[in-house]
Amino acid sequence: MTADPLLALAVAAAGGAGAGLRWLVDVALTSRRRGALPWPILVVNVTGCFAFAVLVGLGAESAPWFAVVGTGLLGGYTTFGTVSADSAQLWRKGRRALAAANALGTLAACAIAAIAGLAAGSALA
Amino acid sequence: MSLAPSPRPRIDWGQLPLVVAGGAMGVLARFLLALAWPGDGVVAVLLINVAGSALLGLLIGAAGDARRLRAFLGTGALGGFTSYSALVPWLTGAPGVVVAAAGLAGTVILGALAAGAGLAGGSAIARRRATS
Repeated sequence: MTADPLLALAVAAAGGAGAGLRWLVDVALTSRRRGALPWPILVVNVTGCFAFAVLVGLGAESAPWFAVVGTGLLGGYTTFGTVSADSAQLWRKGRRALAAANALGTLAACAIAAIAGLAAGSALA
Repeated sequence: MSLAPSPRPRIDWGQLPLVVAGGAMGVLARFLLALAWPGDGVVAVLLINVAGSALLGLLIGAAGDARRLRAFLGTGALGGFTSYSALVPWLTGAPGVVVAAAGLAGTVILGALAAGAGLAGGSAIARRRATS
C-alpha cells in the first residue's frame, strides 16, 4: 500500500511538532531532575500513551485524521529508543536495578495509562 | 561577568528546529514502513522500535558530546522513528493478556539489549577514531 502524498506530508509535519514538544517538555522538566532516573521522558511517554489510548477508545483509529494525530503527533511525541538507550547506559554504568526499573517501569506505567485512556475514551464515545 | 557556575545549564534553543526537522523525517519513515509492511503493521512497529533503539545506541556511543548532531539524529529522527504510543494497539489487538504482556515485555527487553549493543559498537568506533 502506498500513502497519499498530502497525508504523508501532514504526518511528517505533525511528527516534527510532536518531537519538538517532547524536547520542550524534557528541557522544562530536566531542570527539576535530581537522581539518575530519566523521569522526564517517562512523563512524556505516559501522557502520550494516555492521549493515544483515549483516541483509540473514542473509536478514532479508523478516522483519516488519526494517522496525523496518532501516528504523527503522538508517535513523534513519545519515544521508545530513548528509553532503551537510557536503560542501556544505566546498565553499563552498573546501575542495573535502575536500568531494569526504567525499562520495565516505563512499560508498566504506559500500559496502565493506556488502559485508563481506553476506558476514558470508551466512556466518552 | 561572573565566573560562578550557573545553577542550571542554559537552554540551547538552536536544538529545537533540528529536533523538529529530524522528528518529521523519523516519523515519516515509520509511517511509510508500517504502511508498506504486509499485515496490520503491528509487527513492523516492534521491529522499528528495536532497530531504532540499536541505531540510537550506536549514535550516542559514536557521537559523544556532539549535541546538535544528537539533537537532529537522536532526539529528532530516531526519537520520532521509534514510538511508545505505537505499542498501545497491542493492548487491544493481541489475542489475550498473556500474548500482549509477553510481546510488550519482549520488545522492551530486546530494545534495551539492542541499544546496549549499539552503544558498545558506537563507543568502539569513537575510540578507533580518537586513536587514528
